[in-house]
Amino acid sequence: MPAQWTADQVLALAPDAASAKNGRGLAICQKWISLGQQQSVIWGECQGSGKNPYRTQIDLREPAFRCTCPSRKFPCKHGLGLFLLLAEQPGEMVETDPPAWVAEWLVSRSQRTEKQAEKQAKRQEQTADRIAQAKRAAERQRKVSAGIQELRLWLEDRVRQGLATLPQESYQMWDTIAARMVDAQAPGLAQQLQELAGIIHTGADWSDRVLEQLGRLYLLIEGFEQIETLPTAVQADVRTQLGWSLNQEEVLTGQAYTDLWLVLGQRTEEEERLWARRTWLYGIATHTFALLLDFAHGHQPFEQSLLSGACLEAELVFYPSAYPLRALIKTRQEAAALPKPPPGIEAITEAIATYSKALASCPWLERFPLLLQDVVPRQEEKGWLLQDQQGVVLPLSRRMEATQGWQLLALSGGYPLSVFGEWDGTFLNVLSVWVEDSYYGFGN
Amino acid sequence: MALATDSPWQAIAAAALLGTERQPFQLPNISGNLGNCLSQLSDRPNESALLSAVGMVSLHQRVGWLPEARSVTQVESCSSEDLPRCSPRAARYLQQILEGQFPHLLSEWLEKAAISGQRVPEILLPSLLDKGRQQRELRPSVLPVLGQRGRWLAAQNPDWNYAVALTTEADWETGTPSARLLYLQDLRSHNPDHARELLQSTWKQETASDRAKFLEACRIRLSPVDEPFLEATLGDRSKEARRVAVDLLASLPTSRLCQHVTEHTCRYLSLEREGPSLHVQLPKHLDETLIQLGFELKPLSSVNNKVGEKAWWLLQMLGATSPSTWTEQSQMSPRQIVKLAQSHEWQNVLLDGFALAAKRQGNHEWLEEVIRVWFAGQASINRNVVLVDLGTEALVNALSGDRHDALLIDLFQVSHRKINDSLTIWLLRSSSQLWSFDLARLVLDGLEKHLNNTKTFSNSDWELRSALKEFARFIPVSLTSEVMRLRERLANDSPWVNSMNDLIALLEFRKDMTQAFGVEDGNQEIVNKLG
Repeated sequence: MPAQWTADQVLALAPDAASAKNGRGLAICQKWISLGQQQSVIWGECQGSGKNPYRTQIDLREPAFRCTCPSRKFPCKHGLGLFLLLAEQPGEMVETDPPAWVAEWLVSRSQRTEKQAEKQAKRQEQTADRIAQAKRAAERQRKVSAGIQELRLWLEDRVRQGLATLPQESYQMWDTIAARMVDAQAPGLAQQLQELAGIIHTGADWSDRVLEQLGRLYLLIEGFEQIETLPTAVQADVRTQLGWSLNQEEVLTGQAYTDLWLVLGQRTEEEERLWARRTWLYGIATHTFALLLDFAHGHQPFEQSLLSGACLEAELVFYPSAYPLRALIKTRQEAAALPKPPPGIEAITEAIATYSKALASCPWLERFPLLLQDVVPRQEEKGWLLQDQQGVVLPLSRRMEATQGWQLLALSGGYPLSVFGEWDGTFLNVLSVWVEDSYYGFGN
Repeated sequence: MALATDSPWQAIAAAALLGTERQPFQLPNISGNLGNCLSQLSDRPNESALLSAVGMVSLHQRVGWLPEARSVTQVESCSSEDLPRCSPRAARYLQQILEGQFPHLLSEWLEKAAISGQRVPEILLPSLLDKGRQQRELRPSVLPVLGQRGRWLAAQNPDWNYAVALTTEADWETGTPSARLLYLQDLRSHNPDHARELLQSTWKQETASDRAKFLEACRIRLSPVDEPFLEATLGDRSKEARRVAVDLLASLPTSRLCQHVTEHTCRYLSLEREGPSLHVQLPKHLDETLIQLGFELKPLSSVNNKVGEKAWWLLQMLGATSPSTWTEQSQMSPRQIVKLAQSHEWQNVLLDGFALAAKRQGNHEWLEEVIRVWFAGQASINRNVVLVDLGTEALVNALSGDRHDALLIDLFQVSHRKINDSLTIWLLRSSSQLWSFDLARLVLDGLEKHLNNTKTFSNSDWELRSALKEFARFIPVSLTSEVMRLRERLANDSPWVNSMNDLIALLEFRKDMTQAFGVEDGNQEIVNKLG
């Protein structure tokens, strides 16, 4: 197996800082009673506080974890410790036949994959019931249209009265109209309205930013009212904005793209115990960016393990859009590490031109992937910048931790490096950095 | 984003703020594609036209935004020649320490890196430089492992200016105060005379607080050659600098100050071998010559309530009188004299005076006697001191590592102190370096006896329990297997199992950390000694 895991990649899988810390504490051979490996499966027995040692195993192909300890964290500290041990002292893993408890797990895993495939086939049959589907779609179209009509009037009322009085309005005004949009089965609109309410108290230029958002909403309303006249891809974008997304099975029926996908960077955000993870991929052969969104509740693990800086061979299907970015993994093979940084764009002007083009295709793009090469981090009074060889600058996110700016500068030493980040039209949010051949994750 | 005052966006935004019911919306009149698009809205009602125009213009601006070329203050790139980076494994241990696991091991990590001639990886530099900013005592060990990259980085953040290297003496006048201090300290440690001359060359232009700090650096390798300079600074304008000068002169037994003060002190303290006895007569006034030498008439505000003026004068005199004066004069041993002092009515003043002089002049015999006399009958470390900086802790810390170990070995072997005795625990905790093998084995023996006999926890056991983790910092890692055997001999239900496991975890961490620097097992003891 070619994969050479690095400790940073492993630690990026930790569900929280405490797990990472405890996992590191277990990445010592003495903590393990037994250690073994067979091809892409590793296992070990770790003496914990219980009577019997915990049995920990990892299928490196995904990687998938399993451990007999009672921890609800995933992966648990034992899984992380075992994985770190492999990354740091691969010589300690003895190639041998797996014991029964490992073999059983492997069998059950392959059975599960089969079952999932069956289930998926079944679901696809169900969705194929076209008559029922069309009926549901028509019903929703009616509800959303009514909601859109209501929102149009509401927005027009706001500008009739003038935005100057908005700061005096209570949150209830926003909540009420947002709730109406939920009722109208347009949760995307509800979310945008709630975000709007948040902008009002965020500083001097709130009115410009609120107005921009209102304009975008209005554009969306107009788009929906003429949806039949729009190209299919734009129709899909309008529906996505409304929160009327395709389900995964429908997406997966689209064209699949096979490539060696590099995991460029990740960011995990939490809101009310719901963890949302954005993972950006880059197709080495197709030169395409793809965004994977994963969600997990509380202590639940994310379904997919994706290691930053590593590559996976996979078939991806994109959600329909005028500028397709969001995608789903249809099938995946083994993960492998890529020793070199991916090729980025050297001129910031050129990179921004790709953004402008994308925005012209899909005006609702929130975050755009920028992969820059040969840029130097610089510090200004107002914050951190990246500068290319022509002297063109791009401001880095103000929300970036102060240490991260200094880390970026430390890694650079005044020399150019490769940076990947999310561009929101104003700031770049750095997710990863390559210096020579080394990868550094900045996402979390 | 920056907008011109008469931009279409500003016109639209102003209309939206005001509201169309107050003023009907007028489409901005502009040419080009955007103008054409906007003109299609002219038939719409006010509100709809306004909102559509907002959508169009803002999208137009977003799509058309161009990044600007700007001259940003360029910093010269870092020199590429550098020390080798430490191994990824060693880096991992450092990261763990910086993130708060075993924070006390930071200085050990730094020392090991320095011994191996390795540097900290770039990504960890900001956290390490921050640690050095918060903990001044770490700075000297942070500097050698920063490498070129670290010093280059530090030069760009005023918070880290302590780490900016003064590479040549030419920078002496222009460096930041903390960088200059470090440079001076370093120079002092290998060329004390030159360091003093350098300081003298700029003395007059330094600020009062810098003068005191820089002068303090002369404590490093202090010698009689420094005396003329120190005497000259006795007349300095800064009170703080004068105090440092007195302190340093009093640390030189052969200085004119010490000789002069000793003459005076002998008038007020006399010792008789026969009896034996110790007589104290408090001075009636403070001699003018002593005032000129920097003696203070009024007690420092921190000692005000404990002694009167006259006792304070005597204390200052004793502190500048070599303790050997008393042994020579009376033919008594330090132990006999300290015992006499202990039962005297001016006990505090005498013991503090002896301790101060012993500490200043590095007289370990006297220091140990003051400490021992105190320990003999006491369980508490809180000596009743006149000068706050002469507490038992300060005296113990003034001992060299070897003498500290010797004192502890004595406590176990001669005084038969127990391992869970507060004073023993405190002394063990206050170690500043690895314990010798002898001491470490005594501690392990003491632990073995005590832990196996613990039925229920007493107060002192709780104290011992919290101290165990700290002990792991001082046990030579080559004794790890002995500690593990000790744990194995504990009963399964012993209340000490968890604490011993924690202790072993820390020891193993240290052991692995040492190995991560590429030090083989066989050489470990050399590293231990260096550390």
